[in-house]
Amino acid sequence: MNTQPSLRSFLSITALLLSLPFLSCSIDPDPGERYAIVYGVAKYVEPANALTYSADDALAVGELLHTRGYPLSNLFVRTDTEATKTNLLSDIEAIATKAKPDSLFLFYFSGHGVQWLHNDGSYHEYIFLYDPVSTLSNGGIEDSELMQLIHRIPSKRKVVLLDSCNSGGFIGEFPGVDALPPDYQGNKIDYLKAARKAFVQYFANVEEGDIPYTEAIVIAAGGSQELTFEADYDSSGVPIAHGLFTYYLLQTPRSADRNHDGWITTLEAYHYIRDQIEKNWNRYLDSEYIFLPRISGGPLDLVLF
Amino acid sequence: MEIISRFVLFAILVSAVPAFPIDVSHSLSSRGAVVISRLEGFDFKTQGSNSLELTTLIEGSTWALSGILGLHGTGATNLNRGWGYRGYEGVHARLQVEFPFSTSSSSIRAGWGGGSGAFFSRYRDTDLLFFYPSVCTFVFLDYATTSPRIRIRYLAPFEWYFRKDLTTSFSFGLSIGVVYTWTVLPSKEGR
Repeated sequence: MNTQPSLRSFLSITALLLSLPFLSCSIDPDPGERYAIVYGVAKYVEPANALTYSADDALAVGELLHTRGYPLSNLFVRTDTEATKTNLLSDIEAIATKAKPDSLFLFYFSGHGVQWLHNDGSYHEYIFLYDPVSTLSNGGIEDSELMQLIHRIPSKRKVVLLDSCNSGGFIGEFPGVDALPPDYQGNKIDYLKAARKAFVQYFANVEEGDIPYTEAIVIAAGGSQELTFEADYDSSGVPIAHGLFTYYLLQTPRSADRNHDGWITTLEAYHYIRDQIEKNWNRYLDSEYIFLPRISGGPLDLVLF
Repeated sequence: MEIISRFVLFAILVSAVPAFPIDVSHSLSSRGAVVISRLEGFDFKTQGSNSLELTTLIEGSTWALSGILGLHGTGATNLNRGWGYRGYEGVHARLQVEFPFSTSSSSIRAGWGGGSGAFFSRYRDTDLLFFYPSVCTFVFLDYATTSPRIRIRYLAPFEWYFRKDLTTSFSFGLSIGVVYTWTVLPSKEGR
């Protein structure tokens, strides 16, 4: 006789527990307010340094971001002679005054990058904006300097996309030891070595270098010791006319959305670009031309657009 | 040959065990858990996690030691408000000590325990590896089967992860496994 109420209670509680996941608030991946600085430099002072497609890369990425919801008032696209360090400082200040902690900030650069060995034996990476005087202090932006610049923006959600040589060196080493070596040449992925390093790193006093994961998720076109390339055509004769990294980045809205939610995240973009470069470029070329994109470690994944 | 030698050594050790009041068992278990994570400046979000674990149990009458090797996989969180926590997967090991609530013979035996773990994980879709230790506590229920050597074990663990990339990370869940006891002491045959 008493089992009836008990059974009803049991069924009610079970139904309530089963329905909890559906009662929770709906998921909306919209990143909300977003800002972007998009720079591309193909034309440098020395004609020998000229690139072919970097300015077009920036224009195309600017167009992509606008069509994917970045308002023009929040989008700073500059190419060649406009893409100077002075303008970058000014654009960053403009965004820093408007952005909120919940805003998304994206910095994109296409152009030259290098890695230099300093006197203390450490390697530092640079990207090169347009520099009318052409000295390192004017046009070059060191990894730690870029970190300081984007740190001025109060947003907690920042992404840095770099289509330049040696750009993997901008990625902070902690957390996540990359099993991909900085000079990947096809098949050198050593998980055991990386696991040993990760164990040691956990107990070490890690110095935050480059751009740490707490500052921004960096997706770099290649490793810190790799050159990256622009191309006229791919291996099957299809026109590219962009930096390879940017070419596949531009394809992400229609090809990289693996969970079909209509939004592209940093991991989806990274995975797609890396996969395409491996399939359509690395497979057909000598080891000196091989490169692979890199991404920051850390627990976060951010919606890009 | 090496594998055969190790097997012979194991057989010798197991056959010697009845001289002492301990049992040696192995279990294969599957664990489902909810992982709750938070990074400073961001909200708590939940992740579903599964693991497969092989356990070696050395059991006395009032205690047991267990060593666990396992594989784990944790899914990414939702992307609500334009961000989420990444999924990860990897291998782990744990050392645990456990104590039954009662030593009386019964078809059901319950107990509790605790231990410490070490995890090597890789963020999904990347080649980035990271390490973190953990501490855990759990309660368990052992159900006897018709075979004196085999029992079913339910285990409800709570685990705290000391991840350096997150401010907070812990999990709770449920594990079900089959335990095979190589040695069955006469005093425990009714279990």
